[in-house]
Amino acid sequence: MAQELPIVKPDATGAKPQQSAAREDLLRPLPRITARGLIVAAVVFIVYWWGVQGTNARPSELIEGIPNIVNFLVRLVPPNFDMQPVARLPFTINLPFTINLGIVAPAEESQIDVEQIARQLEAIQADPSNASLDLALGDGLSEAQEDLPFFSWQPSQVTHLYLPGVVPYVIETIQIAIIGTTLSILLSIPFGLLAARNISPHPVVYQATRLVMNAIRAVPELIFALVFVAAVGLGPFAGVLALAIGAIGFMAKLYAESIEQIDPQQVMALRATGASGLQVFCFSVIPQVLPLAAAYSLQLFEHNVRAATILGLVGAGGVGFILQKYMALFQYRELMGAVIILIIAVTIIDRISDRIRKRII
Amino acid sequence: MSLLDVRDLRLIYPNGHEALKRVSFKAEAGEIIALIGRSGAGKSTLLRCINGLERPTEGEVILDGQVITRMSERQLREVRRRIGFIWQEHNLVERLPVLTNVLTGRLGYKSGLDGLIGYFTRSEREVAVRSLERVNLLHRAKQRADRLSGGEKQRASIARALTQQPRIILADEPVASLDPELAVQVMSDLARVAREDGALALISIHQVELAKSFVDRVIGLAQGVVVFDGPTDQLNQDVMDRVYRFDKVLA
Ligand SMILES: Nc1ncnc2c1ncn2[C@@H]1O[C@H](COP(=O)(O)OP(=O)(O)OP(=O)(O)O)[C@@H](O)[C@H]1O
Ligand SMILES: [Mg+2]
Repeated sequence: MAQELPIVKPDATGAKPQQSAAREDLLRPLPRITARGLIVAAVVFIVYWWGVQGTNARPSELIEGIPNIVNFLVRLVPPNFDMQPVARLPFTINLPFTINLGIVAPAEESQIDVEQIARQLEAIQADPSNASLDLALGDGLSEAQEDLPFFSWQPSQVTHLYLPGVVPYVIETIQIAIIGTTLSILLSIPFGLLAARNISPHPVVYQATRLVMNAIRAVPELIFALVFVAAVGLGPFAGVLALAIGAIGFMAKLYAESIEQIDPQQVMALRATGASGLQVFCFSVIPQVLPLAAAYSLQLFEHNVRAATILGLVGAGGVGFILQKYMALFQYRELMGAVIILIIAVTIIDRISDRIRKRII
Repeated sequence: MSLLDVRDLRLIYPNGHEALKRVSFKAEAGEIIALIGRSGAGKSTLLRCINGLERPTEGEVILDGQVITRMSERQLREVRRRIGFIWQEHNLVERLPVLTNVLTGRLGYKSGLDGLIGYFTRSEREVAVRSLERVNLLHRAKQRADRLSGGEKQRASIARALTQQPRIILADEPVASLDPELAVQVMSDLARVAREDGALALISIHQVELAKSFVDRVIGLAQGVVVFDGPTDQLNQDVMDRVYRFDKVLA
């Protein structure tokens, strides 16, 4: 079959028609060097050079720092999950070995000795000048645990259900992300509608909305967190508010762009049936925008899980608080444990989010 | 009084292009009319003027005695709901099921919150289902519109128009993106339902031979002017030259 096709012979005359210049340009494997190209290259180079200067990003600095990095990495292992007892098991599991995951002694074995405290209080009353109270709360690691190797063939008993100490904080982080994201979406929708060129009621409204959005987008989430910590106090609610407000500028822009991308023909077709503006919006604009808007919203959620991690650093709730605590106390192994749990949690969330995304698109 | 009376319609687009120059014709209920003309002759423009999507610069469109060219957008809604419009690219809302798309033909009759949240009464659904049956598409009712084949999409859009219970059906090149076989099917469906309902159908179409077997009357448009208006059997080579080769005829 192939032989039957006419074979196109290259033009042997060597004469080049004038108009083939544009075509030739398309065939050029490397782009032509132009003045504009040189200027762009120069600008890019200057920007990067300037960036490297400003951030002190030099290979020599990095090489000199390698021993410090190694030292830090060594101190991260083995991870310590800071296991906290959450419930007594109805049975005891006997293991022929011991894995030291940083198990904290169950609370009941370190309960406050009421009698002893009463005795101390009496002593203080008798002699107030020497007031010191030992509550003997028995917090933290049982001393022996620290010295145990990560793994040994020593038999051990598990009497309680344990969870890594970071888990409640991870859960709080996810809660902050869920509520913050939802609020953010609800707040962004009206902005998105007003900022979409094709459905905004008036060009002035459109411009004004874009201005507000840009202003919000310019403020980092951490600043919002600080503001809301000041407003509603330390805790996860400040984090929720920071996420809710912080993402409006960004999300509203994405929503507006999704709305601007809809097929105007599908809108026109409904208008032609005599449908009102609002009806056209519900039956043509929303169905067209929904998949994209939903995908963006899920993306925001994934982003917010990470953002909520950072918010804890300024006291706005979440796992950031405990990460900071471990770092401040040089508990690098506990830090590693917490980071591992966090990575697992974030991976699971991303997977779920991906599933949902596939469903709706 | 005619159902549709188009009088001296003239339309100049904002860019100065005069798409329609003095277009006049009358049409009665039950007529099936083909609108032919070369690309750019003004067929789409004319159809859009008839349901008020486009405002003419001069002249009038009178529907059942009402001058729609002077109506407010609000009044136009009531006129439009009795005018089915079928587009070349069907323009269904791709992500919605076929039935919902067809039901949107009822929106013009609804004004409350129910119309916004997609609540349609039993009798409204009855109209939609009946329309789907008439174009043999009921088995696709629950499918998303973007899953339909080209011919099915066009039949769904006929069903949407039928659900409006229209007195006039305007179709802008309804078969242009279909293969010849489907084109015949869709044209025959369209002509049949229009005839059954006694609606006036105005169908712009490029396949003159195809049109001939389904329509009673042909209006030929060239450069925004009606150059032929008569029964299908008067279409001869001379007329075709006037409609499609006016530039050569003049030269
Ligand atoms: N919105 C617009 N602004 C400016 N000019 C327009 C606009 N819409 C159409 N035109 C011009 O008006 C003339 C008539 O257009 P129209 O779409 O009515 O032609 P048509 O007969 O439907 O052609 P086709 O067969 O290609 O659909 C064309 O020359 C077109 O370029
Ligand atoms: Mg057209």
